[in-house]
Amino acid sequence: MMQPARQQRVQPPEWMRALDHALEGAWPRPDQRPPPFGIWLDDGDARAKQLDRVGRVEWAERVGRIEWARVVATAGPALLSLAAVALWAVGVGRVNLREVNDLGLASVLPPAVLAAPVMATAGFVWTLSQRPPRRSMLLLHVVALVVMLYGMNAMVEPVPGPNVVWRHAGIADHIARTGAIDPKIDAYFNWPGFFTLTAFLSGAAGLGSIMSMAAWAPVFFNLLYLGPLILLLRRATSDWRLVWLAVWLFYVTNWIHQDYLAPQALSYFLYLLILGILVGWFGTVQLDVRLAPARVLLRRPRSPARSRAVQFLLLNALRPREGRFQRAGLMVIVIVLFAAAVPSHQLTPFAILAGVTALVVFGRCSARGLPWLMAVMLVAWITFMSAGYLAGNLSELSGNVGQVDTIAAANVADRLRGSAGHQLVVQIRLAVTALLWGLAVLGWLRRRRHGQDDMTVTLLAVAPFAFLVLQPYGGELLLRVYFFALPFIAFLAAGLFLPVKEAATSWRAAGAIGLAVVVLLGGFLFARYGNERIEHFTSEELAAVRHLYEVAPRGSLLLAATPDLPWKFQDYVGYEYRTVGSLKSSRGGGNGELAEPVLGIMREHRRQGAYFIITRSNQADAEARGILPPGSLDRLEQALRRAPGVQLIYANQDARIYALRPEALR
Amino acid sequence: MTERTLTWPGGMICSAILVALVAFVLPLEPVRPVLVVPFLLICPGMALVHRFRLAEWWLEFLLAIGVSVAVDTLLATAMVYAGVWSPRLLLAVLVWLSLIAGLEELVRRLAT
Repeated sequence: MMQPARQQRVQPPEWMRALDHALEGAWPRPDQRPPPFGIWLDDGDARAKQLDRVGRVEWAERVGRIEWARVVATAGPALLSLAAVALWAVGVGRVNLREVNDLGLASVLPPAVLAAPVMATAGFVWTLSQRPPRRSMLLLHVVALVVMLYGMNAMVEPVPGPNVVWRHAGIADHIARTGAIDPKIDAYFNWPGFFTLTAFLSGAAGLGSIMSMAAWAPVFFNLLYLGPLILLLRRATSDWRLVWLAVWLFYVTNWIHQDYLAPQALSYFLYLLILGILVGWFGTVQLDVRLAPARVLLRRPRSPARSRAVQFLLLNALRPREGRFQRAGLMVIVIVLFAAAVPSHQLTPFAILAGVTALVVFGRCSARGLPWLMAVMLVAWITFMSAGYLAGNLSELSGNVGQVDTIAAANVADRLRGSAGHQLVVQIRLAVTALLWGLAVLGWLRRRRHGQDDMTVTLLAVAPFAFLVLQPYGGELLLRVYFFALPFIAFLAAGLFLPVKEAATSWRAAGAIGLAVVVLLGGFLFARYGNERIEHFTSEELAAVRHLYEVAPRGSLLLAATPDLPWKFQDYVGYEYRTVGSLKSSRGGGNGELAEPVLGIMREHRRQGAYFIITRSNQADAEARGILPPGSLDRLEQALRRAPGVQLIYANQDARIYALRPEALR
Repeated sequence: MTERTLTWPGGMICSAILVALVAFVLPLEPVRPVLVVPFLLICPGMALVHRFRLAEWWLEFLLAIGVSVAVDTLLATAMVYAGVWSPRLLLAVLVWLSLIAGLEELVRRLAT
């Protein structure tokens, strides 16, 4: 007769331990509630006790259950994001841009494309709720989100936009061909760093034009921002969930559209990187985070062992992690980065200077001499390299200093006009901004109540607002302030949901995060792509502009209805470019009749040649933004057809070109 | 000596040689942008940043991109203002710089 097998306490075999360890699987502690999603991830001690209490059979069953749950918890969110990208790619291919109205791209997006970022958000929140969240999975979700939110233009537009990119291509082309800069042409030639870089890259790589890099530039730049964002924010907290949630919020609220192929996009990367290095290696926030365990121990009753632990933690926290050589090298890097930012963009070096000065003044950065050095570099550039431009435009540049009401009008009130759809888009932008800033204020208050020190982040969030007293910056200053403050505002907003470091995200927090992100995502699609009817170009429009350059001799006048068309990419300094809007303000035509000023300037240029081009995007621009009175462009075209000497020389579905033939006037 | 210590110098030397080949020796136009653009965005900066022995590889990589962009911008702008604009010359300078930095690092690592 066989004896029943004695139940013995066994340890799992090595291979199972290794598997379990690899999967980070563990056992629940009896006193803990399960996290909202996924499985338990516990510390080694609790797991060992559980293992000791169970026999072989029970242990095997448990391993099977936990392994399965682990697989679901790991693969589930990843599959969600991958499925979202696939769904998005299929859906976005069906978009018909000809049906876009003044609400922008959101008006023609299929439900699958709208659902895809929501699915990715669900995967992200699921991963965030695990303990600890896997950073590789969070990275996967963020990359998927960036591709979906910022690759939309590249997928739906047959021709890259917006119009400014074509102008930038023209400037880079001019530098690549001539190797020269004429500061008298416009402001771009006084801050040519970005254009010399792109001219060099396209020349060295054998690319014909920088336009071959333009379509996917927003995805490239936003992925480029990810590294500095993490570097910057991880020094503000030791809670990785908060860092990644802030990154997520940054991407769902970066609707400013300053990430196309432009000096601002590249210099923003330098801005984030410089601040990241300074906060990370020369800041004091890291010290606070490292001192936190010692503070906890100090609150409890003292004992010799605890005193020794506190002493050890304090010494460890105070010891610089990098040596002198490394810190000196990092400071050299900061100076080199700033030196590249100074000749590349007008505004960004001032934003860097404002941020660094705020950190130094409030004792949050040990590089006390850096603001002085940066100020000297900036003044030197302005004094010696862009003096000609400033001398000619000084009154325009300094005329609004201190006039906050004028600046606010140029940045907000002047934008609240145009068609009903366009006005709704502008209101959505204001609402999204107000919502994010409101969340940030509440987050700041909540974290403060929990004793969190957010001084560094707060300083960097507030510093860009100093620009609001300077000048309107073409009505874009508020947008730039929002852009420069965004990483820090996003961090504070994330703090509302995750105020203190915890092992797992609660059900309530996960639900609140999901809800807030979905609302912000909805706002993002309208706010970022709300101008799509105006800003996208068709192949026919581009063909018309190319034809214009073929027929117009160098030196002739190229006149467009509005600036929104893909032009200036060829022989940037070889033509005189004007728009009807600028004529209207300088030559009258305020009663809606544009024929007189248009024909007037064309006749003035009849010797060199004068061409008027009107495109679909021009008409959309005039209607949606209310730049020109309704119907005025149609009447202008009718007048041009009747005018002596003016001929329609090119027409396709989306564009027409009129030319004043000198010989016809004789 | 670990694998990682040789990865960057080895990678820099290989990519510098490949870029020199496609840009100056073999007219392989389709591959040229694929090799040259990443080289210009990583290697000139890595030549400097790798000397600082940062603890995390992704930080080295990130700073290398930043420094590369800055160095490319500064040198290209300086060439334009100096009136000696030549993308090929600048590319050759950066290839030599990366090659020398990579070789020096490799020799130093192998010697220790």
